[in-house]
Amino acid sequence: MVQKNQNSDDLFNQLAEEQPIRDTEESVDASYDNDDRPLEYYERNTPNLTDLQFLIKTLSPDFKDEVFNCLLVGRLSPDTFRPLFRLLVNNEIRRHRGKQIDVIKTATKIYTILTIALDGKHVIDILEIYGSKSSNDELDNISKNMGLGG
Amino acid sequence: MAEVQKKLDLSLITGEPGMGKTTTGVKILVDKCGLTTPPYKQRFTNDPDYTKNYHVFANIHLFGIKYAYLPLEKLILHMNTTVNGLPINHPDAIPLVGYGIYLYDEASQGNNARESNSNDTMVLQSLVLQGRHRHLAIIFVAQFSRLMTWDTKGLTKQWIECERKNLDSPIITLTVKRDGQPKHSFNFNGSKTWRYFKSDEIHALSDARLARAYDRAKTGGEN
Repeated sequence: MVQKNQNSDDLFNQLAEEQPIRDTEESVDASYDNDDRPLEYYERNTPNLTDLQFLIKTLSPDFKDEVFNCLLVGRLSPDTFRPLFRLLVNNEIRRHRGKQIDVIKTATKIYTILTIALDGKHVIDILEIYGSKSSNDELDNISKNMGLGG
Repeated sequence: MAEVQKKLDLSLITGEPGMGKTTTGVKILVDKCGLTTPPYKQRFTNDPDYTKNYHVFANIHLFGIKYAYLPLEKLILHMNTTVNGLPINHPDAIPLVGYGIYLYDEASQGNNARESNSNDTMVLQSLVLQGRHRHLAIIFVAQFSRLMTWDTKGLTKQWIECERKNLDSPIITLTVKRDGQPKHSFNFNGSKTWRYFKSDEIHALSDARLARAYDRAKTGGEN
């Protein structure tokens, strides 16, 4: 049982008064909007990534290049694989003319991107993984409901 | 009070310099004090019962918030102080450093893993271990978690990683990881929180430590 003490806050006040309350300074940059809501508000209003979103975010990295990012979600025909590969590697090397460039690294990166895009396999892969995960979850739920453990 | 205890307990805010770590820590304090929406009403009441009030402790200087400035040396002084005069190990004792929230900025000084066996760091580690009994939520702010002592890392319930695209942007991206929950990222605007503190406050090293370092440097590492 906590004992009540009328002067219990005095000690804290005494400690707090050592550094008296000072007025706040003006905001560093007043041009931004008056967005001063609690953190919980921001957290609550930002949706969690669903499994599918998480998969897409993980398996489709941002290459900071419009062409590469387009290729990831495209369907690349096997006929165009080789010419496009030569074209993109040449283009990358020409873009860095006069600067140091790691040719093997560049070629490998472009090869990986083109392989991902080949026949649109990338999107199919994601959907397959998502589908298998969903069906596994469903089976787990069913087995739990039937009392089979899991 | 129970809400803070449940939600915060022990938090660790990490991030590179200038990424908004202290801003995030102060923002949590400001939210908990009810200062977020104007008019700024403090949640401190005139209730004489110490345990019903909400106390803010910080080792940095704050503006516009009623708080107790509690750097490590002062914490050590008040570690066993109780507000009702009972000894700290009495079942009815109410600790002075308790019933609130404690923001410990630059925790790599004072709670450093490399100094985890030193006497002053041990006091802070004891506070971490006693946090629940003192009804104290502790927020540590550090550059990265490897700087922290093992006790702190093991007991942390909430990990917050701060990121900012550039130093001019007020938008801070937080990635919050709580025990047993997936990571969650969200942005918040830190521009309104900067006025509650000064971001370039330097945490002083003790004179005794500097004197020892000076002795050692002067003698070429022989002392």
